[in-house]
Amino acid sequence: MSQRRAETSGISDWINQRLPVNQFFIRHLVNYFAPKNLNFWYFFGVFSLVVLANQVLTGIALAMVYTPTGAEAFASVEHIMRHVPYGWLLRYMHSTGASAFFIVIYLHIYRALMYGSYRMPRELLWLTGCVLFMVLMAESFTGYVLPWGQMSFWGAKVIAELFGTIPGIGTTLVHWIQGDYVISEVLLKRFFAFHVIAVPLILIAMVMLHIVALHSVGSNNPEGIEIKDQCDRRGRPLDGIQFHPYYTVKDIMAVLGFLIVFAWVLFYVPEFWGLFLEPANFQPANPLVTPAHIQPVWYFSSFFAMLRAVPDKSYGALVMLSAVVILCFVPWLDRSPVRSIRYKGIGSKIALSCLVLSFSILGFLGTQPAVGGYLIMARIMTGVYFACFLAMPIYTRIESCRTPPKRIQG
Amino acid sequence: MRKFFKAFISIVIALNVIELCDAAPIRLESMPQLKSSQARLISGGRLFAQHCMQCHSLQYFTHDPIGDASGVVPDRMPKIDPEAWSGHPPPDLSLITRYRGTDWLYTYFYSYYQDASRPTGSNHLLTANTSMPNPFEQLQGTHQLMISKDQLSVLEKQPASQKPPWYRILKTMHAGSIPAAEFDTQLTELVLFLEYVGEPHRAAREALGGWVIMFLLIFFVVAFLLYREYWKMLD
Ligand code: HEM
Repeated sequence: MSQRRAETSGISDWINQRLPVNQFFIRHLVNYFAPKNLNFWYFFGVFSLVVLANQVLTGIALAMVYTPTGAEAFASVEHIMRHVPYGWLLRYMHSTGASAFFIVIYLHIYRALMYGSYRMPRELLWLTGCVLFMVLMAESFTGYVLPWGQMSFWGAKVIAELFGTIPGIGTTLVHWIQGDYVISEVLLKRFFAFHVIAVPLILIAMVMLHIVALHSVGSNNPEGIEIKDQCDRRGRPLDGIQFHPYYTVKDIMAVLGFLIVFAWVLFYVPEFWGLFLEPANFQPANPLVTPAHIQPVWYFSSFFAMLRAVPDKSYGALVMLSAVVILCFVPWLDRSPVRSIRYKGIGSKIALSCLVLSFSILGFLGTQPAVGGYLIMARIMTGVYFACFLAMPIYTRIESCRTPPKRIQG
Repeated sequence: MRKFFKAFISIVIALNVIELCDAAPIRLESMPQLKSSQARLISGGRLFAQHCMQCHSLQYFTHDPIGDASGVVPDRMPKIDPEAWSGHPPPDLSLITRYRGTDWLYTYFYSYYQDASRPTGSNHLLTANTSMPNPFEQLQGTHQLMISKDQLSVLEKQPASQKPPWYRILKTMHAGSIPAAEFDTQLTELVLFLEYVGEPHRAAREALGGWVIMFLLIFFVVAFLLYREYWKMLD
């Protein structure tokens, strides 16, 4: 391999003597060893990279036509949908991509929780992930406001009002964020700036940190055992395989599978029955008419349900914030002697199921009016959600775990 | 997994139904499954030009063959003064089907009933006290409300699944100038036309989708075979 490369001369040599391009690829793709048993759940990291690329590329194209003014924002989106050649395709790719991003990320996080990928030595990998999740939320929230439909406007208003509940500085802070006494074009222009440049810069920088962290500690795997503990004489993990070509071909296949599903949604159900593109947002923003139901897009729905479950707005906002921030503490809450759910005891299995269940039920409740039985349910589920995290030091310590094998079998 | 998916889809659909029926006393009818065609869209467009375009614009809909053939063209659309109609001017209808859905729009035209207390002489089940008169009174005839207004407001609070269809609470008073079945077809064509206006590239989108997915499928098979070849080397 290196023999052949040494013989090639000309441009590639010229470059490599000045910039270690080959060395970089060899180091990060060929001589990078990944566990041989990475399964389906390990595709979601690559999928998020694909979706990120999709968002950036289609976003650049959309920004060429979209106009962030109160009078023209809504119309410019319709202009893209109707008169820009393939504008509808770009817009649907971007809107479908936004929802796909969250589906993929939720499953990506679920994988990490399942296999204990946040445990030593991957705490910073996990923390960069948590920051990415928050940045992604900021990115999609600012983006959702841009079409300046009814939900864009009223959604922004509800969130802005949350800042207003901070004691003392609340109102001043809201006016400072809005740049106006009310939600107006000033905010729209700010959000445009955030959505197209500020937040994506942070997002991409964080993704790079995430990958650097990953490549310095290496992937965990479904067994939750460290492949680097069992190496051959040359220091290669016995249960590791070269990322390239093995995982590159596998990932290409998986990405194509993902794109097929993505394309199906994009071309046949881009509104996804009112979940990806909401009917109410096909009406231009009207500050004088409050919509009957103000609700966020599906991917914020669980957090929204937690916000409304608390009678007091400022505490509600605090609970909602904690629901995200609590993820950062997971590496230190988990006291289990093993990483993977495969070897953990019954307590962890019940807790993880309860976590998924409570989060999904909250997602449903966020779309319903917060009254009666729904409200009580939301309160119980909020409690369950937090209990799964807060009781982690207890149930991970007292449950009996199975001993994982030293090597990956089969 | 399949069960889960089915349950998920039915929840999603149920959610939308709840959302759209909201405070109305009736449930929505499903629009008849008429296959859309160029001819149907043009005849729906003509209906729009004759009966709707005095008051409503389609501002995002510019010249295209179907609009031109049916007379729905920008310079014939009304300029809407936001101050007129005491601050509630007729809304632009470019996106009405995307906002309300086709079933809502279809049911909308079956929801008028005679009401002497209203300036227009009629009232409406989905948008109570609307200032829009029934544009199809001639063609469709008139209907009478069979229950009291109090009963109407009771129905409004019922869960969506227990609301009656419009024809349980409205009765024909005067027949229209064309047979009911023919009116139903014309109405469906109008809804199809407005659905087209809401997203003119829909047909192109669905046509392109097939090719893209086919391309990806072929590519997927190639990638799968390549993957299998490489992973054989590990055994
Ligand atoms: C823009 C968002 C993100 C991108 C592009 C991204 C990308 C990736 C990629 C490519 C991998 C390696 C492949 C894989 O293991 O799936 C990975 C691994 C990982 N990611 Fe992310 N990620 C993102 C967000 C997150 C979030 C939100 C979290 C957690 C809160 C997270 C936690 C992790 C962990 C713990 C691993 C290692 C998993 C293991 O080795 O078992 N990532 N990420």
